[in-house]
Parts: sequence; C-alpha cells; structure tokens
Amino acid sequence: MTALGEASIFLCAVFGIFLIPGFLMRKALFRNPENGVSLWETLILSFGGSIGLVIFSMIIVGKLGIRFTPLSLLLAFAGAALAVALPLLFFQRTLTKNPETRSKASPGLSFSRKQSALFVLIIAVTILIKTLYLSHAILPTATDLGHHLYWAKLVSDTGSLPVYEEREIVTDPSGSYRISEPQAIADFIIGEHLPFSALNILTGASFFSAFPVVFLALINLFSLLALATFAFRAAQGLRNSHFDKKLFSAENIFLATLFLFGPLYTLASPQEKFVSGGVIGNTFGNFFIPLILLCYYRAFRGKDPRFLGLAFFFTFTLAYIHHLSTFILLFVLAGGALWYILFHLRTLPAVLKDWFRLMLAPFPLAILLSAGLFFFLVAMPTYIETSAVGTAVGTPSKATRTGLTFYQVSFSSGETRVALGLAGLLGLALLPWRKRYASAFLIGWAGMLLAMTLHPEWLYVDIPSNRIGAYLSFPLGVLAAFALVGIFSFRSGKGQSLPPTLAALAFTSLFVFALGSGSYDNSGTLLPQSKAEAALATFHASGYLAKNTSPEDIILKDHNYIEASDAWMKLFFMRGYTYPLSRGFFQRYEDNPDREQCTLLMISVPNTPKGEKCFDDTGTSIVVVNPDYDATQFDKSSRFSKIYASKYIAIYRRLAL
Amino acid sequence: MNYSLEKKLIIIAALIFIASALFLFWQNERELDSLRGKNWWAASFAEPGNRESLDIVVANYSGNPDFRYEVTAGTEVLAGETFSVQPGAEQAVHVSVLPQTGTRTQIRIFHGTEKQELFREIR
Repeated sequence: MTALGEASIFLCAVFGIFLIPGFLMRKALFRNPENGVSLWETLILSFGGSIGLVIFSMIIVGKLGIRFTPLSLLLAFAGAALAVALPLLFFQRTLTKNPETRSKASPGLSFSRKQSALFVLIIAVTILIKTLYLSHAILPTATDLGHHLYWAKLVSDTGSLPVYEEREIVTDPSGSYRISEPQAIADFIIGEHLPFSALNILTGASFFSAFPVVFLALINLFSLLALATFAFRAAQGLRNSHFDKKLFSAENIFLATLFLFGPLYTLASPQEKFVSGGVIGNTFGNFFIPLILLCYYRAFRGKDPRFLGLAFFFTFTLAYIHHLSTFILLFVLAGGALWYILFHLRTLPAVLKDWFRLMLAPFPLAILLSAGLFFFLVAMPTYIETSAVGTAVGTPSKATRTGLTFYQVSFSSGETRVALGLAGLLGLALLPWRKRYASAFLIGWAGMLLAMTLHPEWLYVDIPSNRIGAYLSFPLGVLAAFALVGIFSFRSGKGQSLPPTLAALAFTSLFVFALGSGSYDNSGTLLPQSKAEAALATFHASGYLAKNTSPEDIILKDHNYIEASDAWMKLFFMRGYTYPLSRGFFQRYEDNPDREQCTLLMISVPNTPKGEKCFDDTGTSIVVVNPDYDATQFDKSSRFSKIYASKYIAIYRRLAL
Repeated sequence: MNYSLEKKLIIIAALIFIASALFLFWQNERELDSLRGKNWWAASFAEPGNRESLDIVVANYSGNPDFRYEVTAGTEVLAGETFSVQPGAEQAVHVSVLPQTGTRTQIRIFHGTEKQELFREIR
C-alpha cells in the first residue's frame, strides 16, 4: 500500500475510534444545543472520551480472554460508546440533575475576522514548524518510542493484554552471573500502549510507519487546544472592571495561549521533542491535565455535575495511562483546592457543602462507582499492583531529585514564558480576583509545580526534578498569556491606561523578546539531518539476526555508539523486553555501582577474565556494536568470528569452547 | 455562540493537520526506501552458525553493483572473485574454499574504495 493510502486509512481510523465514541458520550451528556459546550470543547472532550473508552474496553475484552481482532475491537468500541451513551440518553434527567446548575450557558469562542485570521495563521505556522521538525525524525529511531512500541506490538501480535515483565542479569550468592526469571515492571502502564495496538490492528499500518509519531503529534495538537480552551474559560471567570473589556477578552487569551505554545517553543520538551522521542505517557498527560482541569473548573464554577463526572472519568483514564501525570494532577488539584479554601475560610461550611452536593449528584457518583468496580474487579494500573507508588513519595533520595535551580527552570520552560508566567502568577495572587475559581486553578497548577520543581522536599516528592520540570511550562505559558494580554488591557482606578505610544513600544519589545526566545529554542531543537541510512542499517542487521538466531542465542548490543534505532531491535525479535541485552549509557554504570556490570564488561573488555566470566555465565554468544568504536577488542580476539559487517554495524559471534 | 465560525476554523485546522499527516507518511516511506539517497552496503555470512561454510550474502544499497571478495588465511590468499549485486538487491555468493582450522580465515569484500571484512575462527 502506498504511503498516501496508509495515511488515509490511518486518518479514518483516528476519526472513527478516537473521536466518534467520545462524541456520542458528549452528545448524550449535553443534549441541549444551548448547553454551554463550545465546539472546541466538544472536540477535546470527544478525543479524551474516546481514548478512555478505547482503553477501558480493550482491557475488558482482554480480561474476558477474547482475542483482539479488527472485528472484536470494533464491536468493543461501539459497545463501550453505547454502554455510556444509552444510559445517559434514557436517564439523563436523573443522572445529570442538579438544581443549582447555572442555567446561563457559557458563551463559546466568538472570533472577529481579524482574530479568525490570526488563529488560522498561528495554527498553520505551528503545524508547519512541527512538520518540518518531524520530517527529519519520522523514521523510527527514538529509544523511548522503541521501548513503548515493543509492548504495543506484543499486544497486536498476541491479540491479548501484555504481562509487563523483564529479565535482567543478576549475581548469585556464589558470585556467578545469570539471566533472571521474568520480573514485573512497574514503569509501563497499559493505557500508553493500547491506543497504538488498536490503530495497528485496525489499519494494518506497520509500527515502523509514520503512524505512531503522527498520532503523538495529534495528541500534542489536542493538548494545545485543551490548554487554550482552559485559558479561554478561565479568562471568562476573571473578567472585571480593571481590564479593558475589548482587549482582555477570552478570545485574546485563547489566541495568546496558542501563540506561546504554538509557533514559540513548539519543538522543545515537552512538545515535539517528546513526540518524536516517543515520550508517550507525558504527551498523553499534557493533553489530559488541562482537559481535566477544564472539566473540574467548569464543574465547580457552573455547579455542573456533568462536567464533574467527566472530570472523574478523565482522571481515572489518566491513571491508566501515566503515573507521573496522575501524581502531579493530584498535587495540582490539592493546591487549587487549598488556595480556594484559604480565601473562603469564612464561608467554608457553605463551600464544602456545595462541593459535596456536587460530588454526590447521580452522574459523578455513577462514574465513581463504575471506576471503583473497574479498579477492583477488572484491572488495576501496573504501578498499583507492583506497589511502586511509595517510591515517588519521601525525602529526595538522589541529587537529581533535589530540585532544579531557577536558571534551569527558565532554560527548560523558556525565558519569555517564565518571565511573563511569573508576572501572571504574581498578578493573580495579589489582585482582588484571587478568590475566584479560575485563580485557584491557575495558581494551584503553577504554584504546586513550581514547588515540586524547585523544592521537592517541601512536598515530600522523590521524583527526578527534570521530569517534573517538564510539566511546568504549561501552567507558566497559560499565565504568561494572561500577563501578556493583561498588561496592555489594565486600567487604573480612574480608567487610565498606558499611553498608546508607550503601549505599542512595550508590546513590540515583549513580542520581539518572546519571538526571539521561542524561535531560538526551536532552532536549537531542529535536527541537523535525517538518520535514515543508519537506522536502515540497524534494521537490516536486526533482520539478519532474527532470521539466523533462535531464542536460545543470547544477544548483546550497544546503546552508546550504534548510531540509530538500537532500541527498535527488539521489535524484530519479539523475544522479550530486554532481548537483546543492552550496554546502557556509561554514566549509569558509574552512578549505580550496584547495577550489573556484565553488559558493560562484555563489550568494553570482552577478553579480560571478568568479561569472559560474564560471557560464560550468561551464555551470551552474539555481540552487536558500532565498528568505529568497539570493533578492535573483538577483531584482536581469537574467541570471536565476525559474521556481519557494514559501515554502521558489526556483529561478532563468540566461539563455544 | 458562533457555531458556524467555530466549525469553519476547526475544519481549516483539521485540513492543515491532514496535509501534514499525508506529508509525514510520504516522507516516512521515502526514508524507508533503501535506495533513495542512501549509500551503504553490508556483507554477512550466509550461515553464521555453520563453521564449515564461508558463503556470504551481500546487500547493496549503493549505486555501484561491482564487488570483489578475497579469502585469506594468514598471508596466504585462498580464493578471490568479482561479482555484482544490483542496487537494492541482496545476493548470496558461494565461496568454494573451507575455513582453515587453527587460524583465522578472512573474507575481505571490496566495493569501490570501501572494504568490509568478515572472519571465522575455528579451533
């Protein structure tokens, strides 16, 4: 099939399974046309809802022992959509009833012609920059993506849910080495992989095609829309007489948010770099966090149990996709709630009563009950089953977990976004409207992440600080949009604003600063050239080994110097997550002396007694290396035959004695 | 609520994304094309586990089809032959000599100015 045919089928499948089921759910939930749900919200709710329904229905089908086939999946997705939509249709009044729900619909986006043109320009430039970057990274070379897609391919190949296990080299009390029995892995979560398996099974598209990266790019685009939509709704909640009504419009905040995330900083982490790198969990998390915050915000501000039910559903979905994002979300929600309570202490009983009444409405309760049943009776997330949660909580245990410096934060999140974002945070915290829900959500989001990134010990968080820091650019960017628009629309008590000339000069300076910083960030991330040739050479060598070896042959490859795609070798074998064995980054052996050393010794010093013992004990017989860096030690040895040679890959086979 | 404008903007954004997706699929296909803009080749033993065989397979992803191999053991040249592999093809080449016991038997494959080497050690 041609690439265009493959792309067309992929796009139809995405439309069919990642928009329609969620759209049915949203339609059944908000039936009234004047329901206050804009089309943008419909779009992101449909996408998020579909992802949840796809994941949960696949888990149920897998647990029932039904093999994943195109037919079983289509029936499962249709069944899941109907199972959610039909009760909502028939029992809508009961399920979504809340007498206090504000009847006044929240207006949707209402762009002027200029704003519409600006929107199209921002979206076009954003997608253009992203596409240019991805065109050099579209061939599968990224390590993380290779690791994740091994599991997705395993699901597709076996037609069943995977068991997350790995084997590693261990040292026996006698001092001999061996490859362990399979041990559970807590780091992978099923929801990261099932959407990719579903697309592969339904479309037949290869995991080596563009579909995984294009799908991740789509999730990233949806995360921008979710961010801008959340900013739009928050702006509606922050209107007041201190700002020029025309300038401080929710539409302008929407566009400013898109601008700060779209054309600017669009390539660096956590955006396109995460997309091409296959950082699947974070990419999903960066879509779901603003979507969930939007739902909670709309639920509490509008006293709308339908949004609260959706917020619960999306939170539960995120828990089955990415542990770190879920962990961070819980802190953010707690931060927002604490901030709100802090400024409503006098009316706290009434506030809490409102919240409980909302939570005890039928629809949120039904979602909570269903989630509880699923959690206890169907499947728990892997990190719960393996009791891995405790490892993230506690006093920071390593130097990499003790927080980032402010310089590191401004570097990773973008100077403009940090500068404007902090100005926005300060403005929200000091001005009178800090008591509102919108402020509580924004301050809780940014404040918690700042604390977790700069001083994790305050919150008892024991997670690599740079991983948390990757989340910080999102709230700071939204706050930066508020600051950018707010600065120029602020009016003093007498209705005075900045003189027009000064405002124009200041705006131009800020715009150039933002453009310069954001574009510099983009240009620093652009890939100099494609690694296609090296990747194909790695694939060729992998195909050769897959054809000429059996699972009993233990293979070791190098991750330091093989130019591209070595993490993808396992997809050619499908003989286990840690097959072939890998010599990891040198730093990891230095940082952790307790880590097994055999994978290092067998490539670096294969002819020493220690290296030979590793070979003998583990039964490793084949070594795959970059000939420019690691050939000499094998070429000089009489224990190895060289069985494969290209300018990128050399393969050696150890002789049995 | 201006639904029709929102609809139009969503459709425009979707069309831009679809164009991007089509381009990326097309670009991926081009990058996976072993011949397009590539210039590399690989040599390997046809039966890596068979100690008695020196037969090789050459995969050619360069524009030049001409290859030559030379079999040596120590300083002694045991065999040599020219052969051609069409660009984009993989071809098995029968090597009629057997590996030497107790010494390294090397096969050097020459391709233009490039050279790759395979060897067997038999004790």
